[in-house]
Amino acid sequence: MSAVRVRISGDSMWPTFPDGTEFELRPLVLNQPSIGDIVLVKHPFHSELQIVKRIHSIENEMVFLVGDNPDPMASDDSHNFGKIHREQILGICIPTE
Amino acid sequence: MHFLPFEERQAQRLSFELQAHIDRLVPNPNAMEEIPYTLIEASAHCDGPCGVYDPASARIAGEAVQSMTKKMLALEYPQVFSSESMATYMNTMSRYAAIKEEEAQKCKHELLVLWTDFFKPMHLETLPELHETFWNAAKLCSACKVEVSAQHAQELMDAIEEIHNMFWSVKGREVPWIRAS
Repeated sequence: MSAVRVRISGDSMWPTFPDGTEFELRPLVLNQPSIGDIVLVKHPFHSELQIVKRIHSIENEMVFLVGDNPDPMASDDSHNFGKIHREQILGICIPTE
Repeated sequence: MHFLPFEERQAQRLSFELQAHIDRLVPNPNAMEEIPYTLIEASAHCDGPCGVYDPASARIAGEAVQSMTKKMLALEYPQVFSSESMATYMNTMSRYAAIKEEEAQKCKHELLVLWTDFFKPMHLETLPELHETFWNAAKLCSACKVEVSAQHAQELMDAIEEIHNMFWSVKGREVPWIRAS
């Protein structure tokens, strides 16, 4: 597979990853994902939208995603759309620098 | 026949799905020839639609407070003292006071929504005075409720103008400060 990068727009991953941060996208391998991983996911309510979030917890294949921004209004994540199945994860995002 | 373990099959399937997803996002890979990688955009946006906030609602309420304050200060005591003249005077004055009270409360609400919902922690990096500005503006709403003060009504408008400028600087747009009155 050719190299793929993901660029985020928005501040939900601030302060760790500000608007415009680029990640290298890698497919899941064995035993992934893990808690704390940054992942690319299709938005469960908007299939045309892909989002980048951090894995907060995993329970029975269900993954709870959060943004890094401490503001409760700053991230559209599992607080809003609930847990997602791990199969909905498109890949792991590795910061490029 | 060799079967891959379930976890490995699942990882392989996800890899294929990821490639298929990327292929759908980039229909013409030849267009990307000069870039050594495929770049896709992902959203990291907020809970609500980012564009629904506007300090204009606080400004309109603030203008109403200032307008009612001016009307109260300008209202002359009836020249002829009678039950009817006193009734109309008090009715007019109390209506001004009621509107001032209501609009000041509305203004405070609109400001608090901007302060706590629109503005985020990262905005303090470029606007370190943000909290103090909102704090003072909210206090001025309270002052305008309990007083009939032209000075505080003007200070409230000045504070809302400052918030207008902070808001649009965050949005990266130049929006002039325009008053309805």
